[in-house]
Amino acid sequence: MENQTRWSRLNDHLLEGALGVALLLVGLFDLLLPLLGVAGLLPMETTRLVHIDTPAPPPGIMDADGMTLRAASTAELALTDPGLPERLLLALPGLTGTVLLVVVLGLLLRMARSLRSGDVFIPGNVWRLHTIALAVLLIGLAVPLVEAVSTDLLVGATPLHSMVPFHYEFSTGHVFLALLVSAAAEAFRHGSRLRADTEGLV
Amino acid sequence: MPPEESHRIEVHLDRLLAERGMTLSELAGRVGVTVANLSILKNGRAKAIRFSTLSAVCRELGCQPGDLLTYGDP
Repeated sequence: MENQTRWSRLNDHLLEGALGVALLLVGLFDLLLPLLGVAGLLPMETTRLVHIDTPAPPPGIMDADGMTLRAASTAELALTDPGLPERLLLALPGLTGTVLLVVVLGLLLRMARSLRSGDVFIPGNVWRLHTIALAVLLIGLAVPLVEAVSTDLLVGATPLHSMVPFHYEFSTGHVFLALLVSAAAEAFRHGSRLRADTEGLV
Repeated sequence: MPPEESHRIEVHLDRLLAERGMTLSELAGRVGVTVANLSILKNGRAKAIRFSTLSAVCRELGCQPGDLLTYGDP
């Protein structure tokens, strides 16, 4: 029993540590470095895959050994020497996703901390899970929208505009994950109610 | 969650213990409940009591549930 408690405590600390490290890495590599890139202090990715109206056929042999190389509906939009607004538009979808990911990781870390008291079925964790579900939903819906809008703004005033249509495609995987997290939040709501019912039972 | 209702159940464990010259820890040991939990019951902070706990307390104190718990008038 004593060993179990010690192991359990160690697990809790490991979980908190892993989440803390993940939060630090995401904050550093996906938030701070891209922001420095936008500010022009560091080199940044100046290309983006975009959907195009008229797919170009691939060069060279297209049919070989029963396999066919078909034209792709995506192309790489490359900006040479982008200014601050262009850099911001390029980084905006990634930054939006990262901010939401930081929110998710921060809430997961606070949930992990609630394990210290030995009980995760508390009302605080219910709204945390609902907020995580909302953040995951926004990652699936809003980030692709930001990408579509920013791409449109990037090519809007250029001759490429006619070739790069406004293209929005949300992530069904994220929407499904958000539904699952919402279901987990409801399970936590019932759990916290049951816990409150048994509190003070002798 | 519905708002928690206040109750008017009064617990007379301290009086019953005093009458029998028994300590709380002694009763806890006989009943098989922790002193902390029995203290919650004694101080009127318990929200509910299991029938098994009530039976064991009545058995050890030689009393009826009505001797241990009463309904206080408003």
